[in-house]
Amino acid sequence: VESRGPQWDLFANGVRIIAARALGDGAAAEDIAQEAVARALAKIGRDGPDSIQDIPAFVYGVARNLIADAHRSRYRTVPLDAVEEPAESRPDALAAAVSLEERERVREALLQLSAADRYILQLSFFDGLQPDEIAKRTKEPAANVRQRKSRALERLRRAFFRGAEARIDEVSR
Amino acid sequence: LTAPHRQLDVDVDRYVAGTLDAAETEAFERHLIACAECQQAVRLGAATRSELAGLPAAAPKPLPSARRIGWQLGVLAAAAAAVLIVGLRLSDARALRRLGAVSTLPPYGGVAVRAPAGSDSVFDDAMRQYRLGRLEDARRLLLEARRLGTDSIPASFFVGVIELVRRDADAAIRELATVLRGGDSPYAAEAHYYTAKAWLLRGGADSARAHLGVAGATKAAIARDARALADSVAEVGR
Repeated sequence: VESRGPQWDLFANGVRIIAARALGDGAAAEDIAQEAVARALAKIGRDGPDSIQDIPAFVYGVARNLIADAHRSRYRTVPLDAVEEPAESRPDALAAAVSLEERERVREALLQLSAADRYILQLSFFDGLQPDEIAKRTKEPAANVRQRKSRALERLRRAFFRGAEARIDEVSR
Repeated sequence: LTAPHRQLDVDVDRYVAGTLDAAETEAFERHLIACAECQQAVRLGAATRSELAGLPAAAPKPLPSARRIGWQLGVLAAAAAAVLIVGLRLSDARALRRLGAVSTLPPYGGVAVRAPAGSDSVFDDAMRQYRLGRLEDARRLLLEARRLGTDSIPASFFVGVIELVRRDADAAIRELATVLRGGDSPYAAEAHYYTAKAWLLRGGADSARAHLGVAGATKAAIARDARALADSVAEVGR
């Protein structure tokens, strides 16, 4: 798995996000990501490189089964009437796909934004609204909203990836 | 091999917000698994959403009050009032989320826990990290200690609190439910208090009030905080 190549890391990263969103547990998401990729690699090793026609779809299918198993094993040991059940769609659980350090960097960048720009991001990421829908609420042209959102996200993106760049610099020094 | 690149911004925002339906979610995830650009955008969106929840509400432009509009614009006034009601509900949700935030961690007094040989040192390591504020490390070690057989009540309590600090309300509720199912433990009153906090993060005022009522009726030190928080919850929306 160590020398599996960048394409497999990409699939593992995708599964990590999907599993984190479903389970709200970063450690479990990591296990599922590794297991899904390992199963695909094992099948290719056993049955040959053509045994999987669509590798991302295969990995996704395995991941979905592993997530369902994780759900089942959780609730098998918990009396259903004892827990107030979370909704199936749990966007807050996605935070498990992001490290505390990354979130802190984003928080610092958010504090540098104007309240109006933060409001646009709030409507985007809490209500799923698009710029034209946001523009109706804020009563300004959609083009303005689009531009402000894009600039705000760019500032957050720079902060978010700042740590990764610093680590790469350290390694290459 | 991969699904075509979809309308990136729309899908990412709605995936992060949780407003895609099941079929849209599956289609997006099939694409996401092999798209580095969407993976980065989703992770950035998740971090943004998570951190926005803990910041003071970003106020929209003030809306005109019905009184200033005047009686001759009755229809417009009614529409503005409707918008204000929606605005109040949004600000209520934000106020509840603010009340759900955890500003100081509950202290750990070093009480011995039931644990098989080997897992007690993992628990001790976890709590050392907890005291140092290294919460990701503390959480990982607590989960490991619990897997090795450490008493699940203290381990679940502190994992629940850490989940709350990470603003993962669902995970916090799940962990703290383990403590509450344990009955009359030294952690029970505090577990009710922090479960209430988790429900406030989710905007669930009724569930929060129920847990605060239980915590507030105990003789534990947290009871006073629970009653004060219950008063603050009652103020929201008045």
